[in-house]
Amino acid sequence: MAFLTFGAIHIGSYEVSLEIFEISRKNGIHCIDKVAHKIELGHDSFSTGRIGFEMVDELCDVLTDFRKIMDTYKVDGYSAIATSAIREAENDLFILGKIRQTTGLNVRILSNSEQRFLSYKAIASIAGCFEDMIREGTAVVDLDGGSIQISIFDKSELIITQNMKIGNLRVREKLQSAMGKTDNYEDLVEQLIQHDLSLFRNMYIRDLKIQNIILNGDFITEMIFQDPKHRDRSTRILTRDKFEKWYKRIGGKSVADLAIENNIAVEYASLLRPSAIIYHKIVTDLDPVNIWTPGTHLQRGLAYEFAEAHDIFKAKHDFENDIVTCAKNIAIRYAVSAPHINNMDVTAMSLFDATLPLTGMTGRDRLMLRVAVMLHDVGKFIGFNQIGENSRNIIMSNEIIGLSHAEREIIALASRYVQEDFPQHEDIVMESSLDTERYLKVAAFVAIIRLANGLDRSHRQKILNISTELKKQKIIIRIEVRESFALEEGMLQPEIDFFNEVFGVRPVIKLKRIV
Amino acid sequence: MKAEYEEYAKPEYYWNRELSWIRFDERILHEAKDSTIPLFERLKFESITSSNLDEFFMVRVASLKDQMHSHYNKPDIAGMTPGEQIDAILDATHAMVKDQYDNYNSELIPKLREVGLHVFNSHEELTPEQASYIDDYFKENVYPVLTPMAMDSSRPFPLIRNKTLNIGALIRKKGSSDGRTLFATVQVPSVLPRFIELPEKNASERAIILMDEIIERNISCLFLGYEVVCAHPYRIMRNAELGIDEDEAADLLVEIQKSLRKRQWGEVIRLEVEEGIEPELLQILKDEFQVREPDIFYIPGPIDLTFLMKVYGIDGFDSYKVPKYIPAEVPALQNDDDIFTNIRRGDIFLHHPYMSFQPVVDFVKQAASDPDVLAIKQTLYRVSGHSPIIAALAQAAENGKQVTALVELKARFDEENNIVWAQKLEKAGCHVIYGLVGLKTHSKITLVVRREEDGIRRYVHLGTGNYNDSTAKLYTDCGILTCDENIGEDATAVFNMISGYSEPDRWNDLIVAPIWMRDRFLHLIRMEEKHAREGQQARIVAKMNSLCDPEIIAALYKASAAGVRIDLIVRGICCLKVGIPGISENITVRSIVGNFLEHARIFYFYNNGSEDVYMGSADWMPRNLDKRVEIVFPLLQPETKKQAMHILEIQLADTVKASILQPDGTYKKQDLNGKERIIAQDYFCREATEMAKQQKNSGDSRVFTPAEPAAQPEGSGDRAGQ
Repeated sequence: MAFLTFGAIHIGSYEVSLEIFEISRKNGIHCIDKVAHKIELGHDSFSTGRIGFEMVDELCDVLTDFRKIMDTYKVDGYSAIATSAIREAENDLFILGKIRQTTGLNVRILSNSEQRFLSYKAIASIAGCFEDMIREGTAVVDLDGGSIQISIFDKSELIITQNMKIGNLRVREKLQSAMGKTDNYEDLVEQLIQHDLSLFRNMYIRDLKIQNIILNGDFITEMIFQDPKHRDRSTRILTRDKFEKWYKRIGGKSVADLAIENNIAVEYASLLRPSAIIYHKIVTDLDPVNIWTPGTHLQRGLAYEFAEAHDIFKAKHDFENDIVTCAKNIAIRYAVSAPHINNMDVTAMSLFDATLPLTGMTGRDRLMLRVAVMLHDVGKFIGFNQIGENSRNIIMSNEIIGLSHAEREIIALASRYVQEDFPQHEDIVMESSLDTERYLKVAAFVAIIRLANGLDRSHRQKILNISTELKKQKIIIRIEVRESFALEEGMLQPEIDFFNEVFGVRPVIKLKRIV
Repeated sequence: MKAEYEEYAKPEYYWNRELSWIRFDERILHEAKDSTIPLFERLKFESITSSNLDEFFMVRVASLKDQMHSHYNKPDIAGMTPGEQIDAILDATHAMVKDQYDNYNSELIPKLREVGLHVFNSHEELTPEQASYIDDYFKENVYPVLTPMAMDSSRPFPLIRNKTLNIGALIRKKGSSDGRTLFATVQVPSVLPRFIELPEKNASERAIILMDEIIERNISCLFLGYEVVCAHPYRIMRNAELGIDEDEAADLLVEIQKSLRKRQWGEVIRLEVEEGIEPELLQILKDEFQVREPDIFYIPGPIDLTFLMKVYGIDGFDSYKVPKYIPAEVPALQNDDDIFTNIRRGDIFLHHPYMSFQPVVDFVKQAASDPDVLAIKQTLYRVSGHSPIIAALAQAAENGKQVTALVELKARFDEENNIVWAQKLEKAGCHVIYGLVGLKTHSKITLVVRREEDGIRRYVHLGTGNYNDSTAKLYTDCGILTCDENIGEDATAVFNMISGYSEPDRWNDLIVAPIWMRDRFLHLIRMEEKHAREGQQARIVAKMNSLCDPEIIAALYKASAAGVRIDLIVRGICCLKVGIPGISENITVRSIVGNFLEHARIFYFYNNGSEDVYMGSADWMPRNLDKRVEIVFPLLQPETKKQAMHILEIQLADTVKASILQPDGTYKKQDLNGKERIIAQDYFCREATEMAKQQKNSGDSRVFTPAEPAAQPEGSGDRAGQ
């Protein structure tokens, strides 16, 4: 068969949906069936912190049905993901267990950063448009039930991405009691989100001119582009005028009116209002020229990942680079020296590649190491004492798009123990969830970072060229330098010893002075 | 109703729908009276008027009675309150029944006798030999299944079942001196034929006698020890609306079964008695059934003329019947390729019963056994007994395909039938959905999902008629078979929606009621209006079964007032009035009543030359637009569009079977003076046969030239005021 079929299930805050995709090199990703069932899981978990039995049962019923639909299409693979509603529920693991037991489906809870990365991948998978836009200042605004994610791009790179807990369902629930006390709902929502938004702008956007804004999230696109001639996602671009007109059609209307006028369910209409206000507020604040609403969602991102994994097609956009740049930008925000980490990036990668035959690590690990290199020193921003502890805390509190919680933890611990004595496994399990495999991964990262760090002890980027080679019990590191390397060489012994301990091979430095 | 239409929605601009319906039944009666039609065909029409009237009373009159009982006094679109409507209906139906029996007694029965079939009006006319034959027949076959019931102080008035024929009698104890009589009743068994044929007196005359006469003749055997004072047949009609509270009905299936039992007990809304019934007997019936005088029909002949359909079926008399038409093969399918290959070549247009219904059956059958088919989904509404489609669906489920069938249990009078099929399918492993709460699923759609070399492909059949292979021989319906991607996507969404999932974000091509259809039709009408206002050509041709939606009618008025030429082909109810000055002078309405029941819905909009044509399951009635899941689909390929337009064209050209609605609400046949005799239904029969023959002779070529009608229909020029 020249194509694969793929099922993507998303358990969201107010809807659980299944999309069946047909993926082929020729036609790309093509949705052939979509079913959605309204169920406000977020209503439970955002207000009570857990999801009740009845909802879980209902969810399982729907998923059983989804499974049947996927069987009908004889899908070649599937992905089932859950986002904030289940993520924030205390009984999340029990729910997953119950789902597995009744439906046989393995549901993965996505961390916010994974979720956003996926949603962003879905947008970026639309050829052409995205790449063109992000050459200039561009904000991607991704709204769901629980929160909003704003990612800023400039000069084709991701600069920053931040999550704020102002999702449409969450806002609706929060304002439930206040609603009766005002006749200006718009104002109420704006007041609620104003502070977070201006803080974000002052901290991260500053004087960058936002030319384009990409609005993403459920039903906004369909609400604006009701005309089927806008089926091509890349043409769904609006002017500010048109956007204002759309907003006026929604503002000030009751939920019932909105439902009738737009032919949508009342539940959706009740979410449409806060969504529109949030989108509108952001657009007004950031003042872009163009507004693009591609109308993609997580499931498309999952299909995209599946297609990549099955070598159906390769991404035009370098997503891994986004993760690294994002990490680098965080590092710079915490006053880390960019030349230093760039230099370390090169040496660390060289060391990683050389040790591959020993560790059997993957490309994903390589990416994580790069992120760890970028962030290993951020703790200094707070103070020179307890750098490791501070680095760890900073990393754990920052969003690094595209990484799971577990991956972030490895990176955070690696950064910590670059500075502090490396603990024994028995000690580390007291404060983290590391199993031995991941413990060893942290150790390998620490060893490489320490060595790479040591090779640029002076922070003067003396190394012009590096090549590494694994030879019997040694790893030969050939370095070309222009100036004296005495400081580095003289102080390198502890790093070499630790590296040897971790990898079982001894680094041997071979210097070459060039003029 | 949208404000822009309000000025066109005055009550004086509408006919009452019930009275309009009676007009329709009168048009059928007109066929029964038409001496140019073969005699036995006329029997059929006479029978249909009778069964139609029964259904009308059970549903429509009953509903009006309900409204009266609940003091719901809102006037209808024509400004009539329920009470006024009932009065008008009774006036009209009394007149109609009189007409019906005049025709029966002075036309049909004498004519039948002339051609050699003697229908005995009463047992008193029998010869002694015949009488003794009857008596023997009674003893052997009838007597054992009769259950006579008498009423006295210890036995209350028995339950008389809806629509059953009964014989009521007054009996008196033999030898009793006080002259007191008792009421007794016996049902004419529905398990026995309504009439039997008598032994031939001579070769040239055959004779039949009705079962009620046979029983009446022998009624004294039933009440031994009593003397039968008088005996007369009677029949009652009860309120049949199924008042199911769906919100409370957790399981619709169980609920409908319950309600079917309840139907026997509904309020009596009509009593038919033999003309000349004994006043004392009548009084008892009146009291017990609590009927008013106007609800009583005194019948000058046999009660319930539906037996005439059976008379039509007796052997012989072929020269008095229209030869049976054999549906023609579909030209696009006259080759050895499988149906999917043929559909991939282009949309296939089907016009039943002129073309065979077999391709639709084959579509499901082949899908059931095709190894690449993943799923079959279908809506089933009024399925025939021993339906090959049901068998194919069950087979498909057994072959491991995912089969979803929406079985609409709310199809009136068919519920019992539907429940049986539903359970049969469930047993075979199909996923059966029992309709949607609050909405009747009336759409006719089949989706076949097939995994092919280059992707998933969806094949869809969309039709205007039910998936019922027996009615497909009698109803004129249209359909298409297509694998258009957009329609396939929509079809998937339709089934997701009726499986209880959210509506899709948007529809590509299908127009789906109850949410989107009304607005789309109004929009299409409005566009014609706009074009007319701009001085451009504008035209609407619409064919349907009933037209009674006030808003659509107002929109048509507004369009007509703006100069849009509107030609409507409405078989049954039409609440629109033609010829209102300044309002509907540009509108013509015609109704075609023929051997086949006109059933297709086709909608044509000129649309500034780009000509949009739609077909579907919906009439322009509030219930279709607001309370049902209906699908109307566009014809996207030029070839299929042309075929649908051709149907409209020929029907507008019909000079024989079409009756034209007059400003006074009556329907008149056209004056044939100088006009070509065109009978649309006959024309289509000839054309379909001819095309199949041509195709067969020409081998595999798909190109054919549609035959032109004998005379060009009035395709242009102002038809207003016709």
